Amino acid sequence: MNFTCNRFTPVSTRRELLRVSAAGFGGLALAALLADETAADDQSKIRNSQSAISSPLAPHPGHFAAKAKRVIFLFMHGGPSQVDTFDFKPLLERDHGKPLPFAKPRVVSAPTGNLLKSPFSFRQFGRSGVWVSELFPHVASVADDLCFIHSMHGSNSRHGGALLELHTGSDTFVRPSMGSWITYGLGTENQDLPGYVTICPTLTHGGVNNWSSAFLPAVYQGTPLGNASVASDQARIPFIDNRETPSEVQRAELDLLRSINQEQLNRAGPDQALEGRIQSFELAFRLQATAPQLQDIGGESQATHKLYGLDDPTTRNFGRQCLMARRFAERGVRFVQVTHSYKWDQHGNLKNDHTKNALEVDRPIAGLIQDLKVRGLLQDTLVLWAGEFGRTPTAQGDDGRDHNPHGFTIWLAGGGVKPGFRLGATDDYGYYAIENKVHFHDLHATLLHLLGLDHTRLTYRHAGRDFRLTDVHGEVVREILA
Amino acid sequence: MPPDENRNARRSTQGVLAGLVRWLIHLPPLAAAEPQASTTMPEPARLEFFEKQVRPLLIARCHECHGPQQQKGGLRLDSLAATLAGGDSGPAVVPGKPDESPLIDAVRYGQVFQMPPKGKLPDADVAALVAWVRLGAPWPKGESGTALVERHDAVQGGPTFTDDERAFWAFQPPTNPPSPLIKNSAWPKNSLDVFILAGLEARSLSPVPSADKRTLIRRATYDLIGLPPTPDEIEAFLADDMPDAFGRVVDRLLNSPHYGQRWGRHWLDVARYADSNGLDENLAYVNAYRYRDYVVSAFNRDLPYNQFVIEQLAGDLLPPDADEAVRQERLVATGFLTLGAKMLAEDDPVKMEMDIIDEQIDTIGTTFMGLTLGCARCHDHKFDPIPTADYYSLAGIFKSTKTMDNFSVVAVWHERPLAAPKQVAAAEAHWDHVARKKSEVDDHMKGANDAIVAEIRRNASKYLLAAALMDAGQFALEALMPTPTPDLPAGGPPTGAIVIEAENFNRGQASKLFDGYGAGIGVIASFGPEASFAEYDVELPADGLYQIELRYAAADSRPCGLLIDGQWLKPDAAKERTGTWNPDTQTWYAEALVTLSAGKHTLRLERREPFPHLDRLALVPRQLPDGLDSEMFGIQESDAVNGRLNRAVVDEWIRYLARTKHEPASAFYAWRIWQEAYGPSPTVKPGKVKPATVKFDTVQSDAEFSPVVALVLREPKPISAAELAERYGQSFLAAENAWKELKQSPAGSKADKLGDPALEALRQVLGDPQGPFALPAQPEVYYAAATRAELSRLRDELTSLEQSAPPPLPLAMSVEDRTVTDVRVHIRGNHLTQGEQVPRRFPRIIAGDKQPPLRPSTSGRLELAEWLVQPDHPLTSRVMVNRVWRGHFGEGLVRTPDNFGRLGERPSHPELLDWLARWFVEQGWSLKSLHRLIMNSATYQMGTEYRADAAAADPDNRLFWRKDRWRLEAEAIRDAILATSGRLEPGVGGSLLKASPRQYVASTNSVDITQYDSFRRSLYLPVIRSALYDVFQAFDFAEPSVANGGRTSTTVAPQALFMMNSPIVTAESRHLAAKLLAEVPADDAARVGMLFARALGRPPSAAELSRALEFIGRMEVNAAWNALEPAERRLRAWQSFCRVVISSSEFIYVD
Repeated sequence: MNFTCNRFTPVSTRRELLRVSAAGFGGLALAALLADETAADDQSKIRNSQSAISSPLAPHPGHFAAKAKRVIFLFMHGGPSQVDTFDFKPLLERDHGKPLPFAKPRVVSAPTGNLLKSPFSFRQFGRSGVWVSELFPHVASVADDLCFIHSMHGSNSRHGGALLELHTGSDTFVRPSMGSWITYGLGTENQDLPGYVTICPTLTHGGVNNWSSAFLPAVYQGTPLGNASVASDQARIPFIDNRETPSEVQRAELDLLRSINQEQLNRAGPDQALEGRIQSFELAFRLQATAPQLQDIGGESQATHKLYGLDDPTTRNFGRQCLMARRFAERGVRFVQVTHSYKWDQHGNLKNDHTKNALEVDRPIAGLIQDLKVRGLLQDTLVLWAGEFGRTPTAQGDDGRDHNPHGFTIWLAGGGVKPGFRLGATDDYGYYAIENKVHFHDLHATLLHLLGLDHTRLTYRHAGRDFRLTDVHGEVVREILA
Repeated sequence: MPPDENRNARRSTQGVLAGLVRWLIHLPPLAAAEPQASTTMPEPARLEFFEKQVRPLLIARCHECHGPQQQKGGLRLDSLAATLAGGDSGPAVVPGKPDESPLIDAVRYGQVFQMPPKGKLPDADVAALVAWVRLGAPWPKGESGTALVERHDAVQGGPTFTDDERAFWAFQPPTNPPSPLIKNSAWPKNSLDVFILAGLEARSLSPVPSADKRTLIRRATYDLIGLPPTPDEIEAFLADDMPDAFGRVVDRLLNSPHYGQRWGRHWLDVARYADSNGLDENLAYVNAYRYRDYVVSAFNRDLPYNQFVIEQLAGDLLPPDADEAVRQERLVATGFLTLGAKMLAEDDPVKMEMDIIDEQIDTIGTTFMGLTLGCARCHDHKFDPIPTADYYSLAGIFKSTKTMDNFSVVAVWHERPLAAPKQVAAAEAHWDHVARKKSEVDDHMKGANDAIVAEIRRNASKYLLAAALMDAGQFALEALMPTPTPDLPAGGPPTGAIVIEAENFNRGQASKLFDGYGAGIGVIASFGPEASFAEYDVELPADGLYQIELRYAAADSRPCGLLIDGQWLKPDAAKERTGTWNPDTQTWYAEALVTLSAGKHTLRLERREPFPHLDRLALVPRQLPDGLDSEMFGIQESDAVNGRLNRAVVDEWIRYLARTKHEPASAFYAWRIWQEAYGPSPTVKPGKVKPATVKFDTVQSDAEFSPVVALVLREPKPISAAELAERYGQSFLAAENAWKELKQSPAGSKADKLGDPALEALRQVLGDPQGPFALPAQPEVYYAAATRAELSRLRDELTSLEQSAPPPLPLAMSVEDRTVTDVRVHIRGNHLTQGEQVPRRFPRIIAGDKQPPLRPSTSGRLELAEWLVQPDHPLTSRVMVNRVWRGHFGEGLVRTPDNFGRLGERPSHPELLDWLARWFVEQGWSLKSLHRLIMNSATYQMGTEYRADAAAADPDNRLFWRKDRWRLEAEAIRDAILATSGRLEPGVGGSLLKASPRQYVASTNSVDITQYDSFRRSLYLPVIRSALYDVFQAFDFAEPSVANGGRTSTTVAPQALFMMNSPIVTAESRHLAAKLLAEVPADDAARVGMLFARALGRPPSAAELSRALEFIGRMEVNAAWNALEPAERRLRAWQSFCRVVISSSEFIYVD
């Protein structure tokens, strides 16, 4: 039951940083203004105590020691089926074709029939003995690094609502996304790159709202690289390319611009916004230089290319996304999202399409985990694998499953979570989470906790109210903390 | 609950009950379950049970959220009194009545609550709680006085307001403040200035000097019309020495049609205007633009604001106006209520309706009153005196308003035709006619379909037998033709088979492929959307039964119609997927059995879309097994009526029996056992074939098996498959009749199943949409010829009716009243837990406790609107003058323009706010008058000069000691670039959204269909929620999902990237360069002057000019462009300079 006070008081006062020039991906000295404007804001108190802080994006510590410094979120858009991937249900196989022996939810998106066994075989892997289906042989090979939550549940059975719930905590209102909250809470480590990057995000099911900063300052919004309809090797930061203007011409333009702007500032007198604007062009120019270097993976070894599946047309696109995620993470970007877009929605053709989907992501994901581990990044990088919901163990048609937000599996790996661990359970058939249930709000609280942030204290005053990622909900899932 | 768990539950419950009995063993004999009795029980035993079994449980599992620290849902469970008082949804426990106690329902994981949320309690614990409640909820007496949680009681109609709440400034009508005393009486130009000056003087500050004329005209022009002044306009103003020169500039601008485009856009921010619903399934609001045009027009003709408010909330309810155009315009105005962000794919229709109403209430509160009414949906507003009951009073008004046509997935919002009533009536009559014709078609088909189903039911026994015989005789249509592999084995077709290469058709329009998909084998295929067919003439040597087979490859299913001699054999032949389109997966599939006479026949394949890749066709002679009549397999026209079995139905029976083969609960279990024992022959009797290997004689007694077993095997037992099949047939008939009878009886009309389990099981099979009695796919091919002819006649009529439809009427997103209803308070916003019904009325903190009841005949929207614009309404006028003030100064007198409540900011100049509010109302709510007043003030005309002392005393310029510099908004930046380059198309009105009604925008494949390449003003670019135009996004466009009167202005690096690299800046700077080169002959200095005049509204200084010329000269000869023609180099050099000017801070900031 959703007892959310998910009331987004949409009365926008001016944003706290209205007068502030958050000069882009880096910035200038604004600590005093920030403290002034957001005196009630717990986060600002922390910042206030950091005299060296110079930008809303400058890295700053959280509320307590963090286990993870950054997040890579592998988003499986569409809703992968838990009972065909990581939630092994022998009784589902046994009772195939029988009716579900208990009630289906009051609200469903479509009627489903009787129980449908998984077309995929499961076996146990690793020292942890976790059951993984044949869909994910490579991920299974790193199962001892993963921390499964089998008892996820959400409140919305439609893609749009569920995506927003997963990304922002609210399925009804436009709220800041979790990446925005995290960047707001911690800043970012590389001032020449955005703090929050989303690679090939979906434009549907809430689209931009899934990576927007809503009422948080714009500097915390996700920077999209391309979108789901763009091949990952074509995905770029908006307006980063200028194929027409040679760089020396552009440099000359910027030099002239700087002197013009500086003169205007001199005429105008002290003005934070005008100062910030001058800085923002320099930052943009630097970013323009660093981003293509970052996206040029030519320097990566053959072995790395192979590890991520770049040698295979099936895995190349997603593999490149994963490799980009590692490169961003390596350079200190705080939150990187990688989207495998809207493919996992198998109302029909479950066997073929889940097979195809898993083929596209299995090797790249396992490659990413291994690579992070080898580079020593996994210990302070939190990897999250999740869809917006799972699927029903009951059949839609004879080869499909409907949406199921009532019980599904996600996994985490790396910074601060128990490796080779499994939490929670669904019922005998995998329909409802019944043991150690974890709601999206709890997941959000836990992510923040791992990053050293107390979800009840990470607040932002907007329209006269202190907002949180978790609204009035959320409990840290302590069982999975390493 | 899974069955195993059920059994455990029973066991553990028994365990607990046993324990309970042990506790009660010393008690006098009584019925422990009776609450009256329990009160007579000795205290100690009950308390002991509570202490040992219940209290530890409450502490361990409940108190974390419902105890001293937290009281989620307003509930705490650490005292009896608190438990009995309960939380927001009422008492947690009804002593003695576990089934009525929400606590018990919650731990049982009922519909409303599931507690604890992290996982269900063990059954033993649940049982303990049940037993405890049944015992009357014993609890030690001394503890019952624990303080209850203090909370509002929403159910009782909300709290009475405290004096403090009533006295809050924003709920008092605007006062009539006296003009304050000032020292510098020379400065003010009007009354407004006196208030501002008084504030400054009180802090010993003085206003900075007035801005120069260039600054003023640039400021006023951007402010009122969102465009730069033209060089001519600037020159004219500079030359005008009359004292009212600026006043006339203001008037000129107010009379410009661009004024409505600029200020209408400000209003669209608070009306959360967008051209799609956003949030999830994102559909085009193709008619939203009419509301936008209405707003622009309302501003341009200075529609009084009170009328503007009324039309948007209740334009449809205003008394009829003689002018039809006015009526339509008022319908359009109510689009305000409809065009909010909506989740159209919400599975819970009740929630969707309440969410949409919530969005309306919330927007109205914010937009007109600066109140966050939406906060009161779940609980009394935490900060403002808005009780939940008042929220649901408003909800009643909007529940009585039709905003949506339905709440299904994907839901349909309401639209109303914009046409004279007569025209609407004519269109409706036509569509009624179409609908009637449609239902005629449907009825006709239903009759024919019912006949098919009735036939299946009538012949159930025959189908059963035929299915068994066909299946056993391997007549389940398995292909007999070999599927060759690369090393094709010997074998070849069966004797007598006729094999045809697909490409050798006699008539047809399919493409023949001999390489690629047809490499080495030759296939037919088809491309594009055209219909395809292929016909083959076949000469059969003998009468007989033939199996028709097709060999093809297909990566997607492409079913084709299969016909013989013009008669349908099968509607979905060749529908399998082989995996690829290539020869390597070419496979034979059997498609049909048919009895044919010797001689000529024509085989035809057809499909409206592309064919699969067909390699070959074959006709293979077959022998029917004993017991089957070859007549059964004639050509399938009208089998249902001719008494032949329908081959498609037989196939369905075969598939169904195979699918349910291993289910003991299947109704056909007895049939399967028989088949295993005796085979399919209809005449074989039991006893002749190893009966020991089957459990035929034992199955009846095992309760695990379907009750149908006992029914069909009842004495005297059937002695042949035919007899058993007959039994089944009769039993199905009996089930059908019993159901009919039951539904006709008064007692049974609401029954959902038959009492007799065997008959009920059979009824389930009868009704199973995937079962053997289901209508076969594409049933039309089985209709009788006459039925088909009639159907096609009806369809032709329908088509011609549809084609003669009048052109579609223009539609507006609009609302209308519907059944008027009051709403119950939804406790904690949850529609599953409803409290008291509340009357439709207005927020009591303003409208008072005693309000005349709203008329029961209308929703109350008109009354609400009229109440809002009462002259002494404390908020409506204040909120609007504050919005206008903010539009001119960048900040409001109240700096939270959308929140005048306790958490909003207090006005910096309360007297001025009140004075302006009253003045505004007295001027007939005229916005243009308000603009004039403000812009002709000394306050507005101050410069932006920086002063250290004033900045130190008032860093935020709350006292208005200077005019704040402001950065152009997203739309104004784009418009200014286009205006400067000379390519802006300034026209008014219309839509640029290239979408059909309700089309998906930013659809599931993530391709944004919206195009933004237009030279129209930015106001007209589509606003697609959740996929906002990237230029808008880069420059702080107002989030279009919520009312927002306070746009921000950030400075971030992506904005710099936009200036440096965006296609629009690149293209327009090039266009501007070309224009300067072409239109300003010869003189580069004149060109620079013209550029400065157009872009910055001023001439360049000498230093600026010489630096510009130096830069352009240097760029022209830069090495990177050596390969280019001189003219192109020159153009690019100018383009570079134009880009620098457009990128300059001076260009996008207004002093």
